[in-house]
Amino acid sequence: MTSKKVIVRKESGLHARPGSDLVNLAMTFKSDIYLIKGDKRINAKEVLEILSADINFNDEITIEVNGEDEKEALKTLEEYITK
Amino acid sequence: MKLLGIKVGNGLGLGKALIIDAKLPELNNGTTDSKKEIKKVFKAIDEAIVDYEEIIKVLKDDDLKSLTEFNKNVLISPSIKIELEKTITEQQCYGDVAIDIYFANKIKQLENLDNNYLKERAKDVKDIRHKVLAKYYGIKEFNPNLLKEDVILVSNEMTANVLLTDNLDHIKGVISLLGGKTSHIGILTTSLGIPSVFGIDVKNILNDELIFIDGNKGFVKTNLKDEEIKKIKEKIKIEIELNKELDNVKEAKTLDGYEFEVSANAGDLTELEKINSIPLDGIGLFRTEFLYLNKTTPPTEDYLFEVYKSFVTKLGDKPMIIRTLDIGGDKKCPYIDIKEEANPFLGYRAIRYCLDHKDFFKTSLKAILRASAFGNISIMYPMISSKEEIIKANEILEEAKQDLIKEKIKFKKDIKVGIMIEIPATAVIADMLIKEVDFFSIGTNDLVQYTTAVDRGNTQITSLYNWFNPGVVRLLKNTIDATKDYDNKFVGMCGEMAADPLGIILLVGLGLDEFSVNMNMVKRTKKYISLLNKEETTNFVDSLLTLTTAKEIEDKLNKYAKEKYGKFY
Repeated sequence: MTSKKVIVRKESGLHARPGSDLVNLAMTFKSDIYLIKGDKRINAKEVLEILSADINFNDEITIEVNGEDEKEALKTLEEYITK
Repeated sequence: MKLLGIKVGNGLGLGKALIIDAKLPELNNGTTDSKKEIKKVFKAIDEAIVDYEEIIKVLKDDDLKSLTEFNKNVLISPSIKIELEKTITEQQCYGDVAIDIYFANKIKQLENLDNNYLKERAKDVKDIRHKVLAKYYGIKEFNPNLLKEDVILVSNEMTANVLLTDNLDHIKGVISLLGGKTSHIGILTTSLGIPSVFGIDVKNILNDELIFIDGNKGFVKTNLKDEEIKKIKEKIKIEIELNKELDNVKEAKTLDGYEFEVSANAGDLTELEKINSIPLDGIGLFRTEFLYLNKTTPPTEDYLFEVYKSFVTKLGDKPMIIRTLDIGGDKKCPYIDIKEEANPFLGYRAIRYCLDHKDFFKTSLKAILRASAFGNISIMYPMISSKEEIIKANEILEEAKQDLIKEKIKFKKDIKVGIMIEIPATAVIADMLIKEVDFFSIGTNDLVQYTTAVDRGNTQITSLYNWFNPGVVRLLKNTIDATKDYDNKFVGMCGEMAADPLGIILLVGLGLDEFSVNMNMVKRTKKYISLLNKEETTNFVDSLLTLTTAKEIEDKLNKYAKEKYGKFY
């Protein structure tokens, strides 16, 4: 398992559109991917969970990945969330 | 009959009303064979996914694509089938019941969030539920591909599903009772260029009746006479021509070479992406409310700063006027303590609240000041009713500046400060107040409301709400004239009047410097200005100032507009 703390740099937060794009990215990996915000643990392959988590610009979240392609998955997601 | 509603998607349309009955059968009661139901439910989901995938393939519009992509992603979620199977097995219920339970939970979660944007997304999830249930029951949904004649879609609660297609040629408009500008269906009609008006009850419209929809003004007309139909067709033809011409619009220069600034109103983060695709001269009104309203705790200085910075950086050297928080009893915020009031528009709001909550106000000013190091930013105070309030607000601004100097953070030291002119008392003494500020921005929506004592929402008196009321015109003139003695000061307008074809004539004539209009009205406003001659319009408007009724003023403007705008009016 690998994880990393990141700051969300998507100006409109991780809502419908960016959230949806994030799911599309997450789906390309075999690993289980979670976003952790406060005490909420969000499955990155579940668009409604992401939406309900109300993740905004400048929020600090942790990306947690577990599985065979975890390194690459973490890198790709971090890049997407923080760019 | 003319039915007034809320304008959402711009444009005009004529077509036969097609009432879409969105009703599904009642949910099945009792218990049944779980295995068969699970299969049926999985098939419904798979079919719905295939539908969305096919739609995504043919769509060209990015907004539409990502919305459909979102719908698809809800259905391909790893948990959906697991949860549905569990419900059906455990409760031995029919599949439709399981589908309903699954989505009802998701919808409730979104609706319970303290964020209007996410609340709207709950409606999208309702659309998805509707689609999956329709598949489950084997109900054929309304299919725009089969349309053979021009229609206007009518429903009490329009689902966005009906527009997820590229075959839109026959859809001339959308009418719905429920939904708003930020609803899925609202965004869709706007981005697709389909005229839409919301807030109209289906029971006022007959199926198959020829109706007219005006998404520019926000009404629907039923029971049309032949003569009217002929006129409407002509109007639509011209509208199409005008739209073509608008694509080439760049600047708002009058025939005699005077250039006016036409900027946009903004405040929604989604507008950030549009800035570079519209020929706007700046942002004349940045509403900060949006950044405050969708939160459970006050936004931090850093957050506000980042948002302002991202906008002003995108604007390059174009100006951006940021209006400090305009909030009141009508817009609730959990961390802002404004009590229930009988008249929130005459109550404790905007600058009145901010001056009493100095630290809160100072934080918001510091964020604006910090962003001013990155572009051409000005500050504007709303709801000012007296000189004392300007002085008090400026004192707090000065403290904010001192704080930043102590913190060694950069900002524009001589940042321009202006006020909204929306309370009649300030319009009357504009010549006194201009000495205190760098600019005025006239907020006509409230100025007209306060001057004529008309609540815009009250349908019984809407005809009294008129910006050509001679009393209002005189206040406008007084305000604009007050700035004319100062070379380095200006006056703008950020209300709906600034985009009104007749309003534009009056304002060009009175010498307004800046028009700030909704993003989608920028090109149109520039086009109208460019069809006028400044000197001539000034003389014409002078002759209106002696007229004593709104009707006389409007009639004359109407005649002038026909002459100057020609086919575009």
